[in-house]
Amino acid sequence: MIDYLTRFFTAYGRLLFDGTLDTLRMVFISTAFAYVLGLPVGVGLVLTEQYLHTDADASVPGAGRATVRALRAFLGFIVNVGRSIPFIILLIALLPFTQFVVGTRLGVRATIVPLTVGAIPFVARLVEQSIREIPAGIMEAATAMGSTRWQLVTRVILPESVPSLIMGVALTLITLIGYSAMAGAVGGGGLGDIAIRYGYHRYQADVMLWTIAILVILVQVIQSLGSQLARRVDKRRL
Amino acid sequence: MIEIHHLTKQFTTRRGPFTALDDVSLTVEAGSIHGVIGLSGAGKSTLIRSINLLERPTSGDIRIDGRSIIDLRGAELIRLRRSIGMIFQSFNLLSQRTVHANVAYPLAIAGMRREAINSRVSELLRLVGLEDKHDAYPAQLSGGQQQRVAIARAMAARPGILLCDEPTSALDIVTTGQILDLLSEINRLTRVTIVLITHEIAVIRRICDHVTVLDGSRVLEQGSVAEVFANPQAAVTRQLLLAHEPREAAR
Repeated sequence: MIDYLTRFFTAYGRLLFDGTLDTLRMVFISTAFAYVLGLPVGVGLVLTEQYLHTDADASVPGAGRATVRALRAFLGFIVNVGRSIPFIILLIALLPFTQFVVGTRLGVRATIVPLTVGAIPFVARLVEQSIREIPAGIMEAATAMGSTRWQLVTRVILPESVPSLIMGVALTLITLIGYSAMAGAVGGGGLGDIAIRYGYHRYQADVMLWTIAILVILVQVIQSLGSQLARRVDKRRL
Repeated sequence: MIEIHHLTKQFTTRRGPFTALDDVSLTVEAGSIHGVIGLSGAGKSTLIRSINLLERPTSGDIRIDGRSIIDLRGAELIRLRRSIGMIFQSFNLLSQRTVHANVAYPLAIAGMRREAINSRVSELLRLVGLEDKHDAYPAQLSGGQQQRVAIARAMAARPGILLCDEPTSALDIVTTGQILDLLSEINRLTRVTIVLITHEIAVIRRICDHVTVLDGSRVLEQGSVAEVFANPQAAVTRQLLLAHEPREAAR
């Protein structure tokens, strides 16, 4: 057994280690990019909804309402379209775009593009849900105190939903680990790439099993770190 | 002074229009404590929320110190809301911020300087008897303490009006008395005009100067607390008195 492990890791240790780093790099960078765009879209989904409903009879002149309703419908539609395209297909459909953005269709850098695009609508919905968890009374109090819309977002909505947003980030990272493995099918780099090349094309089941083991560990670690962090920053339970 | 003239509010619901306020008129004298009492669904909440335009009335007028507020929007609406404090049944403190940061919030959004904010917050927390709770979070406080923080927060920007939306309905009877005494003390010290809605006679009796009885979206009677309760004209007023004070009502 020890003999086997020594031989295996001498041969494949470096490969698996680099693959793990590649996966983490793709997933973390894509998540960061996805939040840059998905967070504002998620906030926009909530704000437009609120503007149309709770605010329906206050502060909204008629002309503005039509614009907001159109914006809301547009955001919702884009997000739903994004969510309904299976990732493996998005990956292939985006190849020309990926080529255009990063200059290659292969490897870690090329995978970051579809991962980011695929995660944006997912992130937008997660952010929307996190914000909806804020009790209506807190939003109302902040409005009654004379917060501008920007102050409402930056000083109330986002700070109040931080614990839930952290859970969302963990969920996004984990989802993208899964997606990144699919990218292996088209030469995307990382652990998925290794599992497909060695496990599928070369029938080396042991290499594939080790990549699975590493993926399982990654998911466990990210989930438990995310949950712990969310609990630690949450001031509601002390 | 707050003057409400012929205020009507209709909501559009799935089952058609619903009238929450029907031709409601009342005047709140500057510096007084005015109670609005009624059963659930009487329209109390809609009425108090109209004063800072959390609800925009369908018709009628609201004047604060002679100026109509009903059509204020944008920056003017923000300015109006910053001049009116509000507290709620469920306190509605920012859960992820300390007591200090909660009380500082109205000052911070108005762009006050840090040092000025700190001294004002200390002053307010002393006023409500929580000077040792600057760094506590709302979850660490009792209901009564949370409402004290909410009062400090509502009074931070020195508003001329304080709206109280069922401020003691989530509190026990002893804490209710303490909170009402605090409101009355603040009214005496700052001359802030207080509008308070409740379904409890005892609350009105304890601190209000004037009372308006609301039922079925309409004003049934109003006047000084002593007059209205000594000689109730409306059936609902008698019911409320009977429910809370059966012996006094029988006399």
